[in-house]
Amino acid sequence: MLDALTAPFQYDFMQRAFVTALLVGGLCSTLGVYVVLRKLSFIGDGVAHASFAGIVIAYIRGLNFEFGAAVVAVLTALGIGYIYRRGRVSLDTAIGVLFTGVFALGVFLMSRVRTSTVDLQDFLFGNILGVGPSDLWIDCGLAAVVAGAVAWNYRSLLFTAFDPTVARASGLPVVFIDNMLLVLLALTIVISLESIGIILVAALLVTPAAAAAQVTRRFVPMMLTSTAIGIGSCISGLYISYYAGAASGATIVLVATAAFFVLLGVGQYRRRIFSSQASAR
Amino acid sequence: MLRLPASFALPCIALVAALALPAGGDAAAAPGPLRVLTTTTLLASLAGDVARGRAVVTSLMPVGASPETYEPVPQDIVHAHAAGLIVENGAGLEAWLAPMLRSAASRAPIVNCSDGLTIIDANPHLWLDPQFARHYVVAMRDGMIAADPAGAAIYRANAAALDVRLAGLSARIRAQIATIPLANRNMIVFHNAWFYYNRRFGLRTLGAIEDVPGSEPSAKHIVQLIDAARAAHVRAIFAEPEYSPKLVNSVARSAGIPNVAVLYDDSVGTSPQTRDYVSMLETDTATIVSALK
Repeated sequence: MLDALTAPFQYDFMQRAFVTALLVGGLCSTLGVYVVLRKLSFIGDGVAHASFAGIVIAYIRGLNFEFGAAVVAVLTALGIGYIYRRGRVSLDTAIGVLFTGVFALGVFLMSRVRTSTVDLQDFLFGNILGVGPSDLWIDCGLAAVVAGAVAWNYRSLLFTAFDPTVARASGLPVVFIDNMLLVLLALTIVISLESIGIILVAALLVTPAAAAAQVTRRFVPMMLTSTAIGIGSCISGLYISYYAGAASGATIVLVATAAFFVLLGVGQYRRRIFSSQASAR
Repeated sequence: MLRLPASFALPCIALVAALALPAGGDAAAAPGPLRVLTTTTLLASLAGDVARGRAVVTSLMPVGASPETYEPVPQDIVHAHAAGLIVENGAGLEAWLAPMLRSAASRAPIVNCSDGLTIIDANPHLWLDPQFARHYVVAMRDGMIAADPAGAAIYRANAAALDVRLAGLSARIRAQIATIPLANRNMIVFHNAWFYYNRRFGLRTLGAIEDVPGSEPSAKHIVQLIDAARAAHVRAIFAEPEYSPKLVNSVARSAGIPNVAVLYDDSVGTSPQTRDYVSMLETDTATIVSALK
């Protein structure tokens, strides 16, 4: 049994995959609580698609791919916030409008480059098994920045996440907080994309937090549960992928999805118990 | 996730192309030289040599595109409609071609270059064996003669000259590979393109990162590759210029493989050393020899 748990660690690519799972899995599932509470569920897919335009422009201009992707991702995130505040639409609609538009711009520009020598999407979307030492350092830096920003603005983020109207009435800088959150999300998504790929980023931003919301409505427990589910899914998904010979990203997503349904059941069961106790009294 | 399924993209493309096609005129019957449309850039390189001085050859796919996962754009349908002859690799490489030709209402004859060759394990990469490329050239020559009988003498002369070059290329590759010590003749590749080349020249493909083009490998698969590479003391792993080298580098680091090199296989490159079939294979062979020695 112990052998089965330690066997993958004799390969250094698996060691890096596990460390990345801890860092990026933890980071995405922590931010996921804000994503779910603010109804930003498609931000992962949205920013990922939009950053494709950034990488295309960087390719055409001969710039660094990561830089191009990050700039367009941040601009798209700020644009989503702007449309949401000015356009009388919900955040998910703002995401839908902007990400399809920016993604289409990327496809349009790419289709006019008829002598492309690289598959840009392949460079944009990494694989958790291909994480290199330099990716790991970048992920560490990102995790530190995001953790710091969240800790520093913890109370404001909490208020705006649960009730933006009350937060605004009580004098909090809601626009600043929203923009900061969107920029943090955009950076997290772009950097995570390059180390773990699109399907994992999109899922880890939503599923663990949605699962946590089934069993608690309180902010800190929700965040801790979400982070635990995110990291737990990554670690157990990597083990299953290792022994079952399945694609690692997809396996991790399926474990997280299974965790969601388990907690959905637990939440329903507990509510039934509570309501029967209440009626018995 | 970003890729549209062809079943969705094609009707859209067909619609756009229908609007873009010249109304009433049948471009295929237009006067002028025979227009030959090949699917890949490597086929265009060979066909261009056969057609030199007589027919116009274009490649449908741009440099760097993967034939296994290609999605046609509206311009392709316009080109296909105007073509007098279509050259494909066959062997299952261009699954997207038949629906596209239907959309283009193309009546042009199709040359299937791999017709008559033995396809093993449904692997379509026959062109990387120069002996098979000679077979391709014969098929192209006969297709061009049938479509443009007046040019027969030119096609025959060009094909004969190319055949001599390919035979020379094959001999040079054999001599180059012979300088690699027998124990070192194991390769790990990005996708299994080098099967026929390796069979011809006595190399061995120990494994590929992507067993199915475009599919994500499992941790178990990467571990098996690393174990196999360690056991055989593999000297080199080969990436492809079109794809991110991250997974290749990951395997190289974990398995202690000293050399990581880049091979061109599904498409020619843009540099003078890789711009056509013969120079691309010369460059690839030099890369393989120096990485494995």
